[in-house]
Amino acid sequence: MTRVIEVAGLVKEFGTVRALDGLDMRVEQGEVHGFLGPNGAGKTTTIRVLLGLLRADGGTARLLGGDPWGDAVDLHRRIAYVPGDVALWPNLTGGEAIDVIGRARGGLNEKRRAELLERFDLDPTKKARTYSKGNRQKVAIVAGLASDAELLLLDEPTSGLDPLMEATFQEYIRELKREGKTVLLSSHILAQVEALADRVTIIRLGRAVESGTLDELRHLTRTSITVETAAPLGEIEGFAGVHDVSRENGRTHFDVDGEHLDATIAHLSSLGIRSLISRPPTLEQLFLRHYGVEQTEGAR
Amino acid sequence: MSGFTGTWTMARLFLRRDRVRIPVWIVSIVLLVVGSIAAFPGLYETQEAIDVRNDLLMGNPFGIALTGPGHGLDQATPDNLGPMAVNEMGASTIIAMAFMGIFLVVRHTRGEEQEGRLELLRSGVIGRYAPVTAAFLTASAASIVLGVLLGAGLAGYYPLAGSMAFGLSMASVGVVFAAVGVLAAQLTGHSRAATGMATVTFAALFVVRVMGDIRQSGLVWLTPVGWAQEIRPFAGEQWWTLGLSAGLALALLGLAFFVIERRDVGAGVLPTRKGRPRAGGLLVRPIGLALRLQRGSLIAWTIGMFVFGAMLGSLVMEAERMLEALDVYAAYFGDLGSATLMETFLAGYLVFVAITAAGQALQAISQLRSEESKGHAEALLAGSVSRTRWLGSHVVAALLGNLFVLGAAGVGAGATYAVAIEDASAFWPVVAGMLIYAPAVWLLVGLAVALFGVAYRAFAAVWAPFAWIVVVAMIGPLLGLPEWVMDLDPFSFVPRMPAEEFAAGNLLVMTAIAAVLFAVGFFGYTRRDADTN
Repeated sequence: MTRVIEVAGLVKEFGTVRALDGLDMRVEQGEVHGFLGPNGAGKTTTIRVLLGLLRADGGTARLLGGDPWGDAVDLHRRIAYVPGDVALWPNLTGGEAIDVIGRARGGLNEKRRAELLERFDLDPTKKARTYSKGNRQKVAIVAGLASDAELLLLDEPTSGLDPLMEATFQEYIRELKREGKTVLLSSHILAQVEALADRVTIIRLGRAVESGTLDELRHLTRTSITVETAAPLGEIEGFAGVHDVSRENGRTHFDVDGEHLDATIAHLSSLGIRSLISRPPTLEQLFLRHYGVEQTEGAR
Repeated sequence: MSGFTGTWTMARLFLRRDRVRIPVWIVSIVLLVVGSIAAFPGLYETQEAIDVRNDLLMGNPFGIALTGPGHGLDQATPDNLGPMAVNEMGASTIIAMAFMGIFLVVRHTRGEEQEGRLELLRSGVIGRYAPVTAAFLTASAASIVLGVLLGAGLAGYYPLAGSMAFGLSMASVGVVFAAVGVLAAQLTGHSRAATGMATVTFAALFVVRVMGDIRQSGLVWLTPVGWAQEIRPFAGEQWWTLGLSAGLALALLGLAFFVIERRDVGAGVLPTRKGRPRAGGLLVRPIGLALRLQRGSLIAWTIGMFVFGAMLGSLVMEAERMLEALDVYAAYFGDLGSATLMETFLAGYLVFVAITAAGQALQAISQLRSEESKGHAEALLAGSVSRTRWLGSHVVAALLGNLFVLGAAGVGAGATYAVAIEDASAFWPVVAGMLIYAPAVWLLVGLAVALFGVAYRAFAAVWAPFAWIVVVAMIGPLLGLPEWVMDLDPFSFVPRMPAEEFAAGNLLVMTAIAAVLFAVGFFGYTRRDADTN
């Protein structure tokens, strides 16, 4: 597979603030790559470096085989960008803004433009200053997705959209993926990344803290178990890799680390399982683990 | 009343945000006025000089338009120059005060609302009238402090009562137009429209006062600009006119409250229209967008400058009668040489038109900064528009727009001048005389672009040389500044057509310097980070 984005040891400083601190990230062709992190982790800075709006202070970044700073203009013909905080010209209509942005990118797919306006239910005749946050966001989405770009850089693209529109957006991203396009989807909405992403990079304090497919990441994480056994379960707290035990109506809940799952289930099985619910960890839990744990470490 | 809850909190926020802006307004206006007045005793040492100056200005409608009614001028003596100081500085100070009042309030009312910040504040414990009241009070306090300082500055030279009357009358203009700005901000949905509406209102009220003064009629009582002048400093002060201004300001504020009570946050009262669903072929190009963004302002400038030019041209005839004894004007216009009096008069005033047009050019090029800092530039730069192309589009749009504005002023002045002297061949030299100021304007625009490229955070500093040029042009000759100081004004190097012959030398040098500045700007901008936050 071809690397569409390859970032290694990327550093960006704003005065004394180190916004990116040796970031590594790889995005392969044709994948939807989730880029996850809390606010201020450096997601937007990374995307702006990839767009050639900011100049990296260290490390390397390659985009579609080119240099994001030096080859910005040529690369941008192959890229569509949807920012999360859309600034529109207040006295232009939404339709005009879509055309201006689209043309700046090198042209729009007319059929797709019309289709997107329809699907996102956007009135292009209103002046941008009268749009709500959600409608401004739709303008950016239509302008970005209506292009025939091969790589989409989406920076929290659905902030301000309602769940219905969020669903429409996800549907569209899946269609683009089927067409073979590559998507970098920055988000802190975990459900969205879970629903769309093939692989994920998690960033914190300007550094990638984890990277891989969702399956690979889950491997590192805990599974939530709710179990009812024939024989009394007894003290399970002491088992290796078992956390957060609680009991309720004869059922026991706990989380277990992936590597100890097999041993734990074997133990449960020996007691006679009456019912068992196991859930894969959500990205919320991944997040909590990364930021919750590391934050307490940092506080120490 | 709960509608006013939080007014003080809001006022403190505005003062904090304007902690540089307000002092700059106050200091520049006070220094300009007091500085010019300090030069008076040296200029008018004899009764003859005083009489010549007064006859010249008061016998000529253009002179009256630029000064004022001239109360007490007939009693002016070398020991009583107060009335002349008021006459000389009144009109320009009134204009500055009105702009200060309008800008300060619109920024904090409609400006905040448009950016969505008002919504955030109003969701707190902030009454419905509080932001507007706080903006009005902030601007009024700034006006009054300015007025008192002005009075104190004048009192160093002239009697205290008259000095304070002048200072406070100027403050009253700031207060009234702050109220006008507050109301306009309620009626329109956009801060630029609000500023425009308030400015046009001021211009209309100023014209009413000019007509009233020229005809010496009661028209002056129909406008707050007239009330400010009718306080008559040093000529039997009529303090009660301050009450008229205060009453009008309060009434306008009440009207603004009335509107606030009946409209939604974020909306104006004047309807917003539907727009086009598609962008035209020009708009999708960066140059088209840059021009579109300054369309409204360009139309207003073009009309305004055409009228400005036409006014000058048409008043030349009137002036010629008065230009016999020229001691004072010689200070402005220098040696007459072989040019006719009318040509000299006209050429001398074209500089002022050109400097005003430079203000337009700087305003247009300032769009660079606002487009970048508002994140609009990012949308294009993230596309396949290069930095050079984006910057170039804004530069070209600003320079083209400025040529258009200069041209409009030139056509206005040339046409009326040619009619006035009944010589059609006089038209083109005046138009050319206006257009050849372009290289001096380019120098300022070049400086702006250079700053944008290499020191964008200091971009606002482009206004400093402009302010300097205004000062030198308005009062430089009167202050008797040394020549090398005066030479820092690029506009002084432009041949004074039609009084002087055209000469390309200085213009080429200025163009070359401007080109270097542009190059610095482009070089810097293509190498720096985009300012994204």
